[in-house]
Amino acid sequence: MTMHELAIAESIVDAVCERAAGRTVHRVTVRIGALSAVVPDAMRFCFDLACEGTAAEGAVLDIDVTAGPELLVVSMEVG
Amino acid sequence: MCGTCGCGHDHPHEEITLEQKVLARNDRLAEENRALLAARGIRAINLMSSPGSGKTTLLERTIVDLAGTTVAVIEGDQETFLDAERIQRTGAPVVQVNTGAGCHLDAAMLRDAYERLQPVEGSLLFVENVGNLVCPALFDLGEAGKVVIISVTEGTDKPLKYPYMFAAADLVLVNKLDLLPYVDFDLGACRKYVATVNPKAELIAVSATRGDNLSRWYEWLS
Repeated sequence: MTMHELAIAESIVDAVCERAAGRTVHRVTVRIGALSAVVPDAMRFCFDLACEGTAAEGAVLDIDVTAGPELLVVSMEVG
Repeated sequence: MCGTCGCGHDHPHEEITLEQKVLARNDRLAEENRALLAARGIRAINLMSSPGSGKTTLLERTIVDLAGTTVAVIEGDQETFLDAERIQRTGAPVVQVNTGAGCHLDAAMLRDAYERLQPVEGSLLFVENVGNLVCPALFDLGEAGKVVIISVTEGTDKPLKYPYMFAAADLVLVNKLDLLPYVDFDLGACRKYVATVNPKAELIAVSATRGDNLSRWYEWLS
């Protein structure tokens, strides 16, 4: 596994926790394009690691795989 | 208990739409770096390759050959100060960034290294990324140009195997041309593969040890 997924997972967790502003993040949906050089399975593994000790700990990650180059945080559920 | 996912909360969850690039923060920092470098007339070149392609040897030679140019170097490696020590011996100012478990430099690391290095105005700033043909392609540093280096001791098909990296390149250098007679590397095919993934990239075959075609590399830099 290449470790850029960990850096990218940390970027996702930073972005959602910042936007959640103290609330708990329960679910995160990301869009990963096949041309983005990010491997969904590696991302799942790294996401759980990156969430540990944050407001997103235990959050469910939904990955919407597309054909393009995009790498987006689409939405999240907080509560 | 929350009815949606049983999380233990008694209030409903709120759905928030973000639709933002995952690397938005890195991209923002990279743009800040780019503006800062431009304001000080510093041209930053991001050198990327797999380990062992001869990046540091090329830099040593380049620094010596461009004696009239003010050159500064940021060296990225997972561990050790070995490359920085090699650059230091050429007399060029250098700082080493150790990424530990990380496999690439990012915009924040570049900014931190820049602040430590304080290159003089108008410098040519080489950034030697961590040896890796995958991750560094994703992280904009705020550089003016991306150079990908492969060597003839690697496979001819590297551009097809690592398309993201080659697609990001402004220039591809094929190094160790002096070893071409001894290895099974097809320069013409490699050139074709680079054009397949990146029609805009220029390609120069060089030898950092023997000096072949380095004048073309220096022309590209100027």
